[in-house]
Amino acid sequence: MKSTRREFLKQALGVCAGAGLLSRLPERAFGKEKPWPDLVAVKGASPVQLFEAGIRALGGMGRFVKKGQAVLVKPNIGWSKTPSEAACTNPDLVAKVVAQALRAGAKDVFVFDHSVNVEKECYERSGIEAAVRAAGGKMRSAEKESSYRKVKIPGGKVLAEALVHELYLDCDVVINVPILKNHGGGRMTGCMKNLMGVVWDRRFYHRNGLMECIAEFPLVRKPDLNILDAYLVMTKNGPRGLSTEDLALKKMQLLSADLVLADTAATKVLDMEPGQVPYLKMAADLKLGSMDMDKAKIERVSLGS
Amino acid sequence: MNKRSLLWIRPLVQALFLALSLAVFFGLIQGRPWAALYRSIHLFPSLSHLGWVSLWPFWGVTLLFLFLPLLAGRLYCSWLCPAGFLQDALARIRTRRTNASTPFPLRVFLLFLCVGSLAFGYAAYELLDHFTNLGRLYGIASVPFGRDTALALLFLGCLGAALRRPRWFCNTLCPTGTLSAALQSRAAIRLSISSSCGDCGLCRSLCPADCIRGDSIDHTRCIHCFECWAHCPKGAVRFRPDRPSPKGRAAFLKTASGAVLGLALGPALAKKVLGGEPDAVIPPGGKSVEVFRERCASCLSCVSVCPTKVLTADRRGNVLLDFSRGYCSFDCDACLCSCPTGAISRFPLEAKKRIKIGTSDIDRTLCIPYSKGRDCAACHEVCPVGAVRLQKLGEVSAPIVDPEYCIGCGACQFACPVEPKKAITVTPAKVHGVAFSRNIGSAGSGFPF
Repeated sequence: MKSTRREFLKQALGVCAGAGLLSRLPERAFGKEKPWPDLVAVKGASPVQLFEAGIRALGGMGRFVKKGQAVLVKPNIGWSKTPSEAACTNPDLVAKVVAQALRAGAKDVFVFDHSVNVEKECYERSGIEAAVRAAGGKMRSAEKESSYRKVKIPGGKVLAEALVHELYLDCDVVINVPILKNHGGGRMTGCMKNLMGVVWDRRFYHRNGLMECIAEFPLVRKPDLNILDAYLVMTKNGPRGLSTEDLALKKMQLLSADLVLADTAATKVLDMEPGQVPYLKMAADLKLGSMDMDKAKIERVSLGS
Repeated sequence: MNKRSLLWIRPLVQALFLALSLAVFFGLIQGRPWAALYRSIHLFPSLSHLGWVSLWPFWGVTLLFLFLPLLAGRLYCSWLCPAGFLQDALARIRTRRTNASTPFPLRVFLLFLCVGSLAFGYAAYELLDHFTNLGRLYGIASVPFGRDTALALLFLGCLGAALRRPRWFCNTLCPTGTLSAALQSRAAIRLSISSSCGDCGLCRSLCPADCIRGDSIDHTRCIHCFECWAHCPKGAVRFRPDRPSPKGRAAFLKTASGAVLGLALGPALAKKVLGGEPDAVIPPGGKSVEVFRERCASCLSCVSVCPTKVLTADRRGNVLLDFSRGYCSFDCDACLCSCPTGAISRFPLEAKKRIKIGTSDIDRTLCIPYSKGRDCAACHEVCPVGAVRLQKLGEVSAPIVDPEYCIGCGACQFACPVEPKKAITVTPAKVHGVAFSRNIGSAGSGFPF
């Protein structure tokens, strides 16, 4: 058989591509699932670099987002504050999460938060709206009650039912992207407290038991992935903050599928003990996640010098 | 350019200025210098500014527009006024031409009623002025049914009168219209019909102000739109320096007595309408409730631009902050930028952030941490100035207000989950003060030497 140079090149290219593909096939395809870490803690670079390294250590975005899925990315956009004030999630980080979800094959990536301040001001000043749009994500409003659906919280004692944003209920994948802050009422805001922003009536929480409601809400659905932004951290006067003097540069990020575990680790970033944040123990008792840092497989990644 | 192209250029310009008025009232061009410039061309709210002698970079423009009719007639009324455009549009649908006119002394009386009351601290022009009422119309959905709703609907009715009499509102009630008409009668250049007129009646049947009878133009009603000039097939309408014909002493006396009567009754009107202050929080920049009520024309421009919708008016037309609707946003100066009368003074945003419009107070019998022993802190969370602190109360954190830091923005009252009576409420400041700022920034401790 005569083979031309062109054909040879084509075949060679095919073999190379095939080999490349094989080598990238995850081991779990052969039944030997690599035990991914329960928690990845990354330190020492920009929020975007931290995320890229962190998600790689966690198995890549493809572990969480499959082709054709609808994805919700839920940052903290609660306040009409600029990125340098660190009251909202870092906009570059949010955009990167959106971009990676799209690259993993997501059909749509939606972003919203039920802001405390006026939504338009929050979306603009936080820089998140512009960043998400540029990354190809879709900003959605959460200021109309009609976007929320009443659902039972299975096993919820204080929070038996709630009006929950339809995107949180309907999207195939939920990626929770909070920012870590000190919090007067909740003691700390991170992964669990951030989910208050998918609920219509936050006053119900305050009125009937803030800690219990925060702990019980994930019973309806847990996020598939939590990316806790702890780059610039509000260590006092949270959640709003009075000035940049309230901030400490920690250059850290915590990634986990377990929101209780990520929050438990986060208490340490704020120089607190997990026991000081009552909703963590409540959530662990509800089997929503683990507070056991010793048992957890934690991968620590240090970037930069 | 053809004379007749004026016939489509004018409606275009009018439509543009109507759109501008919408943009200004709804804050779409917030903070742009030309938004203030645009507001300053509307005589009445702006003229009241001169009364308060408040500093305003554009009041020169207002003066320019005040004296414009002396030079070239009522160009504002015919080309720029949004209310005028609406009436012209209505008259296009249907109107009757009877050349009827409202007696000029009556119009002068109404004008001087406004001026007279203004001098005694009541902005009575607010009842008649087109720009103020236009604002009410735009903001009609943002206030509870009451005086402002009634005035807005009445104004709409007055504009609707154009269906029976063209520009009836402009040439009867509008203070700007009357003032401009009075000046226009002394204008350097005026429209007139020359003897070459063939009496075809075209100008009479098309005049937007219905002010042409035979071959003479009634200059108390002419709005200088130039339609007759553009239409006239014989070129008989002229636009040139013209000596007004003397009206005679009787006419002058009638007009003057209208003015004197208005000036005399204005203060009485002021006394009658003012008084009976509601206990309410007014916008930052309002300085004091008394001063604010005097100057506010309740044109609702602040209400329309307010992003949190906390600004509204009560049924009597008093603009106020209603913390059941929202709260005063810390990073926002929309109302300060929007006020056409100067009732809300324009402070720089950083100064506005410390203006104390009230003080929060906690009712511990209602407050959840105090009365139920549970965590809440909704008020603390939202306080932009750190005036609501948390103190340890056993296991829970309970809020406490530092009144000297509180600016009275109502974020806490709005966020408070206790219903129906809130556990934290703002008490209005009758006179606005300045709140202390938490020691942020770095004064530090100790000495550098």
